[in-house]
Amino acid sequence: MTLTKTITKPQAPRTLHGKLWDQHQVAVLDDGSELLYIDRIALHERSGAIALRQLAKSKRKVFTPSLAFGTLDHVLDTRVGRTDQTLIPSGTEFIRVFRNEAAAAGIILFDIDDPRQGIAHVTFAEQGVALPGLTLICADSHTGTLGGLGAMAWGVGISETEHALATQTLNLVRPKTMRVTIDGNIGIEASAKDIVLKLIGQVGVTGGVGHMVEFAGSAIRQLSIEGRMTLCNMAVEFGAWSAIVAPDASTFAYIEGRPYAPTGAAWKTAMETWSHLRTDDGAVFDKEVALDVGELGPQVSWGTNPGQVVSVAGTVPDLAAILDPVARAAAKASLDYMGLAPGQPLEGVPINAVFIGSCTNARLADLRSAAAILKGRKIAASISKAIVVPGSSDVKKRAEAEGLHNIFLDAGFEWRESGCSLCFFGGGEAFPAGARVASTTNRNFENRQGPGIRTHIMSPATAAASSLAGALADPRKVGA
Amino acid sequence: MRNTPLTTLTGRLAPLMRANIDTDAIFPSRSKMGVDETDVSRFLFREWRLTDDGQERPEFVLNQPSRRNAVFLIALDNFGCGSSRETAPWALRDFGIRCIVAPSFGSIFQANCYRNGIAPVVLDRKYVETLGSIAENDDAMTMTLDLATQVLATSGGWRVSFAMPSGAKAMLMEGLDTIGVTLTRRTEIEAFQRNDVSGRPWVYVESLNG
Repeated sequence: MTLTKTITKPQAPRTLHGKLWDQHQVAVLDDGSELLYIDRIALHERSGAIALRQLAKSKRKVFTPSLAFGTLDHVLDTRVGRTDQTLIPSGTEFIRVFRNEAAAAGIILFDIDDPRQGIAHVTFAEQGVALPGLTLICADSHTGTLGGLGAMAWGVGISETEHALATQTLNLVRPKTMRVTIDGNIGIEASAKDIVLKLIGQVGVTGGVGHMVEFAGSAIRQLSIEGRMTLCNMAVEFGAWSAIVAPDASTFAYIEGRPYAPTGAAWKTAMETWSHLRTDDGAVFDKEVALDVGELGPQVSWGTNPGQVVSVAGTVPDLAAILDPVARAAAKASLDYMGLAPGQPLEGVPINAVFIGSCTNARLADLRSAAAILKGRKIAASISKAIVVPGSSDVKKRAEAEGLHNIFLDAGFEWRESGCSLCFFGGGEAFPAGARVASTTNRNFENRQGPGIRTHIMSPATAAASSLAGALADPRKVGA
Repeated sequence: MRNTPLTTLTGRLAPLMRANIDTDAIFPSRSKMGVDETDVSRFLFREWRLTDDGQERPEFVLNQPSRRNAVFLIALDNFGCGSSRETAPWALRDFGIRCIVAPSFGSIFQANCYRNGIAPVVLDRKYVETLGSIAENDDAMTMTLDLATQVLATSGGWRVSFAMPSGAKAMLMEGLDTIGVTLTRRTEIEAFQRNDVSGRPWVYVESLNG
């Protein structure tokens, strides 16, 4: 007996996203939208506390508590020795309400002392909560990260989270489809972060609005699962509704043996099913984009949106060369905020602080990449704050087993507990006033890391190289 | 949720003619908000609207006497991009904004608007720019939104029609309790799940663990 659904009537070629939508469709509604079944509801304390509280107040029950998973990441402190008391104002209330409501609803929570605690998009991959072909939502815009495993994962608001908790479904209008084909041999000089920054620079921050994106191409197949997650993580930064990479042998190798992954006969059946999760030949996408990354080097942002990016060896663009008047006005405002001038080289711009962390770049491979640059070296004296925040408690443990923490500590970094930390400024811990930060995060928005803070986003290797130079720096120039 | 019905709306306009206004700008992460707070308007555009010590910045559009009661916000491309925080539409709604006109929206923000009684109206950029410039030059101007006919009309006689998905429009016009509506299909959802447990057993953690 086969457990997989067989399709008897011939069908037009479908995209991977199309197949997943069809498979999860509970009903087509009168207005043409679809009621879509949700396999996983991921929760964190910032939005999860409100969603669970609202649900409880409305006297409704969680439809299937075992399909919801909670973790602490957003407001939880990352200082060593942390407790429920947070530097972020009202953080303690969010943690405690979330803990109590999750317990009352029968939802598992990776709590403060749980070895599985971590940033949602990091730990839910590590624990096998996210699996290929699953629909997964979280009230967090970077949920698309888990598309790196072949899940259909997207960020929602609090009300939609509440809806999914109460009904196991969401009613949605199917977004358009977009394929981003990335080819070329990725050299050792470029990481997934460099690829996605280059892509956003090319398509612009609205290039994917209204679309669900599938990443394809030879470069994607070469990327590690961690790299694919970095790539999918930032699809929201060009406006994509979600992003996915079709699962392959690398995906299965990553997932096998993870705590919530199937085992034994169920594993074999699952893998067989997952091996069909790919776009059919001849399937038509609403939009196609191609990028060759063969010659790609390190990228860095110069402005206040993630599409304002150049090679670290490049210069701030000439405003007159930006043809779209809205983009030009945005660039002008960005440069005013960033304190940079058109034509200015990025390399050598002095920085005051470094942040290595976030759901984008705080997995083990990211920390290894930064540590390889930092080993045996010291950060510049002009750096007043340098922190490494592992993406999960498990990443932290594994990094320590390899001795990476000692490399960071010896270089002059703080070695933190896992969480979102200073990816955003929550009103607690802050960068020094007016700081310019080399950051491995995903958003360089005005005031994102604190009022007046100037953020340059980049890969872990580039952030590490910049910490040594005390200025934006090219990691290719740091000797072995 | 703040989804009280929205059918027609008449009032002043606040033009904020920037692109990529993100939800961090609309509702900064540092906002000291309690879990159960029902009015979060004081956090709206905190860094742009107020100085560090809480004084109003007079140049900011929503601080201008003729605009502070605006019900329409006019902005450029990609309004509400970034973080999924639903506190952003809540702050706008609590401040009194019930309709935002822009060439495009961040997708999560746009979905959040429909569930919170805010109409996110998409118009071609050239129309948004025209409307913004009319509004900038005439602070006494009002506009009327008629969702049933999907038309915006200013007191000066400028009119434009717009598209909106019918489900989203119904959600706004009826202020629906969408969870209640979906739960009328409980039997259907339960049947889907029962069938799915045998088809995709790996999804169901509890059944796997005994």
